[in-house]
Amino acid sequence: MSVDQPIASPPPSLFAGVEPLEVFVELLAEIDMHTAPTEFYDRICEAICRLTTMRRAAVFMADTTRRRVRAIGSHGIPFEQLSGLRPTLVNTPIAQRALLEDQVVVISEGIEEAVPSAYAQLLGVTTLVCTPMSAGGYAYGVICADRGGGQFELSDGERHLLWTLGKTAALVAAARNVTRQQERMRRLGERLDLAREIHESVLQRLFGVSLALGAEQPLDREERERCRIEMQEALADLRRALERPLAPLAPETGTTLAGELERVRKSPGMVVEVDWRGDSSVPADVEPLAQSVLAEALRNIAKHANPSRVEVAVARDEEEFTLEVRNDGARGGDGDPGMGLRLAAFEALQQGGAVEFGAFEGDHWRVRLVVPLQSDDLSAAPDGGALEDVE
Amino acid sequence: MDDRRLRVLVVDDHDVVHWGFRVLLGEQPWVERFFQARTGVEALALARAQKPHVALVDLFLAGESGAELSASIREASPATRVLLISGTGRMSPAAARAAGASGFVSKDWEASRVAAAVRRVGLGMTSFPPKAEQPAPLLTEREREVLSLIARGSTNREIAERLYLSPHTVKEHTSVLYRKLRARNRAEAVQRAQRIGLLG
Repeated sequence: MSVDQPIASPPPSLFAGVEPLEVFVELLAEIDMHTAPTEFYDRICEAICRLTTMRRAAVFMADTTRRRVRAIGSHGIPFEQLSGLRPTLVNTPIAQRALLEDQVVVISEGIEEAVPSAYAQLLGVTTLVCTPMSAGGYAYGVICADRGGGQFELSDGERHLLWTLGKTAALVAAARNVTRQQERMRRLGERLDLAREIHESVLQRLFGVSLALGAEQPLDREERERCRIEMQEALADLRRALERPLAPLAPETGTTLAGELERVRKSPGMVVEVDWRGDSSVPADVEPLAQSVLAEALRNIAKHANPSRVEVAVARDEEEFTLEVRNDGARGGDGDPGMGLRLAAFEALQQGGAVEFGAFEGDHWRVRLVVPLQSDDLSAAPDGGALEDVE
Repeated sequence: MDDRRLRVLVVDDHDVVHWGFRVLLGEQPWVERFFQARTGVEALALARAQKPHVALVDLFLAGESGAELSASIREASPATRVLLISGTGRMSPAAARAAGASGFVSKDWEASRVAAAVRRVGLGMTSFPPKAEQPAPLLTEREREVLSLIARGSTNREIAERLYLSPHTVKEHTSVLYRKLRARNRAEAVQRAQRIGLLG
């Protein structure tokens, strides 16, 4: 390209391609893994309405397990009004056409023939826009939208924007499906491992012993001893199974709690005051957990609070290490601490500690980590054995 | 009960289970000899050589399928009757029969009940848990009727006429059947149903 060639303005669709992504990320970033699918797709509908001239939108997707199509999220329309609808591709030609032709279809006349009559009557739709949620040969569903009544026409630009949003929504839906599938597989895998462990150890030992004890003749000394050993082993197996980690251990971060606190204290935005009490060095084995709890507490504050300041207190004595994060701007809400803090609580349990969280003094919210410190005197007996052998 | 003495083979990959059976069955007057195998290869060798009256086979042997081994034992020693045993889950009589077994016992049963089941099967009878302990049937009676007509090659319209149902209802039954059997079409549904003993 020669340098004196005039720089052509990018086509409007390219500008449209960036903003949708910004809005989608903004709306979806705060969603946790445990967020209900309805809320997830409500946000997608909200994004559609924010980015286009549409005022009402609903996502309809195929439920492959139940082999039916149903509304899975909406914006500008109470979801309860849609949840009972069971449209099919046969009675919704507008959706069939949108998916087959991979284009945005607008209908202003004959709506009753284009969608199930219940849908048209319910919402008083006069012009309906149906956008395919499909990409890469996969069809996830359709987005039905309108301006809340009144006839209208779509410009080519807006039609293209909606088509792009449909692709983006398909991408988001695909990513969500994969993530949820992976999470389900992980949980199932853990459950299977636990079941296998119990089946292969505890259950077989108990069964063998119950067969032996079921014999009519009294057991001899050797057989009784075998029963005793098998029962002991079964108990030990059971204990090991119960002590399996309930949550992944906090990963090594390559930084320290002190470093992290210094970083957030200097960061713009949230006012963070740090109080290191006494000898508050952080034990190395507590570092990942403490950082994890701090990160979750700050994340919750950013998401759910509007504090004038955040107070972080770090303390340590001979018996325990404590990290407390308080803020004075809790906005109420449903009090659900979110998955992050629950997982942090599981992480703490694995180290014999606890994570407490909750409101206090009205609009204050606190997250508190307490971890007992392992004493050398307690962790090992003087002669190397924790218990004296009775026999 | 018949007072014949029986040769019993126990196939399980857990030493403690062998020991428990040895203690329990060793004292039984109806047990002539007791053999134990940890793998399918050992079990088949013993089945050929000793012709046990009954083989008690763990459904989940390490790396092997107890159900498949059951069929192999029956091939190696047709006179040997198989009693499947498992620590997890329940097996319907139909599924056990499809694997060539004459009974199923669970590892949470009392020892005397297990011993009685071994003896019954060894004597040529069957031993299945009472209905209440069996898994809920996968298909309803109506779905089974529709399935068996599908297996005979009937169309939905023919099935509807035969069972006095509307074609729409038959279509709904077939959809449910496919879902329950995880099948994509009629042929696959029939094939899977045969494999798990739902069709004769």
